Amino acid sequence: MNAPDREESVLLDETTEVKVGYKVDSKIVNSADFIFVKEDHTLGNMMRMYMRIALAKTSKSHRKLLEDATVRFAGYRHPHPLETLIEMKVRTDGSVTALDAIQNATTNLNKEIRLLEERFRDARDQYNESVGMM
Amino acid sequence: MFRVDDDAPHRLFGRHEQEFKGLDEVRVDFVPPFDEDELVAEEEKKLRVRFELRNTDPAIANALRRIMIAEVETVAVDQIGMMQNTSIIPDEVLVHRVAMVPLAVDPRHVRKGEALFFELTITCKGKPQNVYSRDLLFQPDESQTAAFPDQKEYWSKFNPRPVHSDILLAKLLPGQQIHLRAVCTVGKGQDHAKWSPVATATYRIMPKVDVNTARANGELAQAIKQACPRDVFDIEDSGALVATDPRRCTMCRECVRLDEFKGCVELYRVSDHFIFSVESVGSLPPLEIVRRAILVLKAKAVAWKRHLHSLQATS
Repeated sequence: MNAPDREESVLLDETTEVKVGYKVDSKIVNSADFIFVKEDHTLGNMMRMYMRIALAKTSKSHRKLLEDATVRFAGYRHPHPLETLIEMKVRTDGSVTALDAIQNATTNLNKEIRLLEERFRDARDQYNESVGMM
Repeated sequence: MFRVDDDAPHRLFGRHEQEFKGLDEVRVDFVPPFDEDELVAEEEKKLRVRFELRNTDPAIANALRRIMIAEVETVAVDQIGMMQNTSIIPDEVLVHRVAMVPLAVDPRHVRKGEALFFELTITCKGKPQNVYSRDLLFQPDESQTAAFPDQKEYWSKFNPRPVHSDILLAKLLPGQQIHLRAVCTVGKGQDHAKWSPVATATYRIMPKVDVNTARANGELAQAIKQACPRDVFDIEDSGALVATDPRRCTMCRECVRLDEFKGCVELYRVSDHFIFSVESVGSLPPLEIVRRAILVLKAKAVAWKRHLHSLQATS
């Protein structure tokens, strides 16, 4: 009877909720808290990992992943099982803001996923061809 | 790469130096089936796919797995109107059984706002009778005719039906009757498992088996080969041990456990090499599930880039 609507745990209620919350932490220098509403470990873990990785362009064709020295700390938690949200804490060394760092991370993430899609498509076409030949 | 210790499989022995590969190095390969797949019926093989993902982060591999399970859309029974049920199986149990039946409908063919209706009308006459999933029949719906007047004609080319025709739903005695109407909608596994397109979607991390050939030869090599229950090893003509098929290794550590085997074999996990195994429930081909999962992942990443970049404008 009083059970919450199933969709409530998945869909963002745009009238009352904001997808991303952002607050600069006043107690720790160069750090900020982000809240991702209606997201789970799928995104949380990816974001955390990519916060720790920086993308350096070593030559025209070759991009390289490096440990991101500007990010001192990046961690996330899922505070309560009944609340589908992710809290993320980011601390940088001060050369960039936490917001810059997280934006950079999403850019890197996008690049890698686009590449993954491309590589998957090629591999699938190749596979379909080889299966067709048999 | 991680070394796996001989007496504590849960404890990683330490991270061996491993440079991040270039982002350009991400690789996807499809791998031939393993020997034990021979035991699987031909029909079911079509529902499986194995592929390897290399040179990427575990977060990406895990996101892909989670999305395949919970965020790739399918069509399933959402609501049921029970007109008559005089069988011994209670309404709520029957409804649950019907809802779990996988449907052979591509969610991309379902138009926005459209629901599909299935009806099950059965009266038992004569002798006791079984009700199977094949008795669920697609019924183009009149209440939607204003929005989708061509529903009957449109769906006739896709033939909506349960994936398996022989799923037992109920048993009836003479005179008993079931009459229900099921409303099917597009949904995601994160809402309810009945919308999950996969039976299993898993990955394991690639094992690496290093053999110290200086030590592992002759009788010792034979003993190690015998000890391995997965046939990972073979003996070369020189009598030395070789790991011919490390993919088969399950890290059971039989080859390192005994004292006399010390120093012969070392086991590692290659921490950026994932062996995926995806098994579809049948509503979508397995390769299509992987493709759509990657599309969902991409859409997520793009949306997040947009969300986070818009943050700057407001704050």
